[in-house]
Amino acid sequence: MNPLGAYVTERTRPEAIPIIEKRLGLDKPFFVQYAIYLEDLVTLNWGWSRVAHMPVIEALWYRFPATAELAIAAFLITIALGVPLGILSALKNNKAIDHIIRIIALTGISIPVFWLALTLQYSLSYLPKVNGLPSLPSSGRFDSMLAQSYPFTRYTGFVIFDCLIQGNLVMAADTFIHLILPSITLAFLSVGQITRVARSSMLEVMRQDYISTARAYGLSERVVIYKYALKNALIPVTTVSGLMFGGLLGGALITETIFAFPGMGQLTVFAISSNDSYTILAFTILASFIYVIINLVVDLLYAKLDPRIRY
Amino acid sequence: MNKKQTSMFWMDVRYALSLIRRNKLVVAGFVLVGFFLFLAIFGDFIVDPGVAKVVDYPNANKPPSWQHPFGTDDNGRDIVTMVVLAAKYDLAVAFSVISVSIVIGIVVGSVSGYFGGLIDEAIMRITDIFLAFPGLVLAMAIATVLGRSFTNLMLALIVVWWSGYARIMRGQYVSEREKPYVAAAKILNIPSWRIMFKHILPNAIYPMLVIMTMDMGGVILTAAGLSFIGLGPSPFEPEWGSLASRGATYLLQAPWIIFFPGLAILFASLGFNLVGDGLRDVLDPRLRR
Amino acid sequence: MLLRVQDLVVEFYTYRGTVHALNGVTFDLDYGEVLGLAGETGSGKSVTAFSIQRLLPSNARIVSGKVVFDGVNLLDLTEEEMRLIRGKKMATIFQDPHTYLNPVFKIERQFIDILAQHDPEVAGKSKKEREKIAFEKAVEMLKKVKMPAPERIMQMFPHELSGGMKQRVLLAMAYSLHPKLIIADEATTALDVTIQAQVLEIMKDLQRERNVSVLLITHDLGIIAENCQKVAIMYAGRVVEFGPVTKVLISPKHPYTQGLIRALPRTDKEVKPIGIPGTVPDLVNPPTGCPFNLRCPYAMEVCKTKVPPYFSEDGINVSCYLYVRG
Repeated sequence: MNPLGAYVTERTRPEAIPIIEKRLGLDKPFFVQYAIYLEDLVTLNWGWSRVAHMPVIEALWYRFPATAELAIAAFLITIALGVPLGILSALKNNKAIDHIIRIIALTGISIPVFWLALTLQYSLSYLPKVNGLPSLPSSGRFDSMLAQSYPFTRYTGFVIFDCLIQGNLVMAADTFIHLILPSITLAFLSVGQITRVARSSMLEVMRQDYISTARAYGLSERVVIYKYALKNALIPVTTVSGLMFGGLLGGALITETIFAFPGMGQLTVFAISSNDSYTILAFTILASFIYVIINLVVDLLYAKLDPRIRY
Repeated sequence: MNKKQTSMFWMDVRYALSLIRRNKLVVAGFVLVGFFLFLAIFGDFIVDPGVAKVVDYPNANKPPSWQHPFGTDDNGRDIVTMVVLAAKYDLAVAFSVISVSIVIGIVVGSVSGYFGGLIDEAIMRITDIFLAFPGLVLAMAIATVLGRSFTNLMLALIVVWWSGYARIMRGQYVSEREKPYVAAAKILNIPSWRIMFKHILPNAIYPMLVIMTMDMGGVILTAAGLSFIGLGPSPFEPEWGSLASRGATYLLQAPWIIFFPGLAILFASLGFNLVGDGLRDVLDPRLRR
Repeated sequence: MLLRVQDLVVEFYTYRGTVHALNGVTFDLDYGEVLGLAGETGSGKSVTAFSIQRLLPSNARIVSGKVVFDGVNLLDLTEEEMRLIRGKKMATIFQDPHTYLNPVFKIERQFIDILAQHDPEVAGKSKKEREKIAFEKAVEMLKKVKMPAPERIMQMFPHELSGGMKQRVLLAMAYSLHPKLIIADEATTALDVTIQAQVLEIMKDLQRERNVSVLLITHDLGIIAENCQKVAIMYAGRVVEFGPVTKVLISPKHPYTQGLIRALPRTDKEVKPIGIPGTVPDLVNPPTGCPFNLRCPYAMEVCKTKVPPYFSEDGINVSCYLYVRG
């Protein structure tokens, strides 16, 4: 890959190239370049984003809340749906509902993100609209025309939060509705994963000897399941949810593109088609950083749940 | 393996097959996988491979009809043909990625897990670095660096996948090396590499089989996703993801361009997942009852 | 008679076929008695214990028989009714203390929950009071089983305790509700000998003090000799001999029991232990007639075709045609 890719096009005059190289420091020895790179990395001087027409760090920072809102929404949906479904499936092992849930979960992990996004867009947004039925919005984070009638100022960048504290319920609701389709799409794959983990973990726990003890002492089935079994079963689920977050970050790339959602993912995909390496690299590093932090948090949570692990 | 072991092995296989036959979902999975394998191997003979390279604008974006059961794409190509042709590439990518990754994973993981100590620490740190990146994100970064082509797509995915396998294999080796049969082999002065690959590996690989099968689906999905955002092969090489990506712009006028390739991805991936899931059921509870 | 088990037949449905785990288990246990249930692995001892409590896994079925406990046939009761009995009237101490305590909860949590479930003094009051009363009772029980620093133990997690301590906690839990019957399912097998002795000692004290009946399940005849008044010998899912401990162990009637005694290493005589030839039958395809007939040195024709009923001989019930009258 050409490091000059972001700065040089076919129309650049050949004489200009050495000058650009010098300015970028590409003429210096490799080690020096690397040192400069590390320094830039730490001081957050991540270069200029061609697609955003502003420094990369600013572009990412501006778009961060959007992706975060989307990711958090998807994450919440995943946990709220995945865990109960998995547990239910385990408790009714081999009955009809178990099979249905297993199939849904399996489908969830087999569906291509873009296909689901586009199918949902088509069926829940386009078709109803064309036929005069109420429909869900298919693109953007909020309706910009509506925003003109109900303006709000951007404080944190988390639009729903900003609008709520400004008392602007219309825009808060509008943003919320715009979040529905993208977050469902993003969540679908992860729900499948969580359901499967919750199910197998719960099955495993129910087989354990200490559950026999609880039953042998006449504890009611409700207590046995919801107290004794559940806490144990949730341990692997916690671990997986951290890993699953990585999938959300990756899936955001595709989902934001399709739903024209103004987040970091969309920016990165633009950067790919324009060969804007700085933006791509910056997003990679930022996403990984977030991923690592999330997993650290998950590890701490895991230590809280399982008293056998103590740091 | 002596005679008794081989006959026990076949008993296991027969039992496994009987279980599989009873579970309709798994059978469906095998059917799907078989179907796509068939398309992959014989695709070039069923449909005309030349279609991929031809541009036929007047015919573009036509809805499904008897002539073109899945419609045509924006280049006027018959989508049925394209989907069938792409099967070969997508399955090949999945297969290569998984096989290369598992080999690397086994080598790295076994060395790390068996020998332990500093080697283990060092290798695991390196693996951790790779694991710190979310899968799709890392693959995207690498594919961008390397450029658009099938080989580069495969390489990017291999880089992502090997670290996961290495970690699992290492865990397996760490637990297996404490077992009596390993101690026995060491006493008999069997060289380390032999112990690692002839003795431990058959035991360690069991849980991997399920993971590998389901990962076939995972790789197909990831590869398609990458192609979709523009990192796959050029438009003249058929690949389900890139086919769909071209159709994104025409979602409203010609939804079939995305729908059918996407459906193919769904079913291929579903097939592998069903088989993997069934494998898991077979390998696990039997050991308990 | 506190517990009367009659002709209990239990089957398990597995992928290999139907396992005939119990083929007619019969014994009784009086108030305040200690009965030893002896047999090899796979003879059906644990299955009997689980069947009495009706805690069998879902692929098992109690096919026929009676389990009359304190005048009630447990097999007729609903699950709800059983639940009221479990823990309160009969309690179990399981084999492996390491896996029978919930690892994510403190000891106090598991103990208090049990007390709160059954103890009339505890249930019905406000939550805070409940916890307090239960806590004190639990601590008292722990003292009874000779646990050092019981208040501290309550705050600990299972993995922080040693095997012997865990088993004593389970003992304390079992006795805390003053049950009439304690089932000790290989309760000392997983412990090393010194701890074993301690735990048995504690059990003996509690048993005498409370006049509790104990069903002591073990394969160790020595433990049975020291602790039990009666013994039932099991083989391949059937009780083959049942009677007072001294009589059965000193002059065993059933050929299997005789074989067992002969197989014990002895320190008082210069006799080598003699094993029983053959192997335990496969319970998926049990032999017809007496389950021991293939290995029995005295096997007769009738032994191969019909299962022997119980004959009374010298105060012992034996399932063996050698003791047919007339």
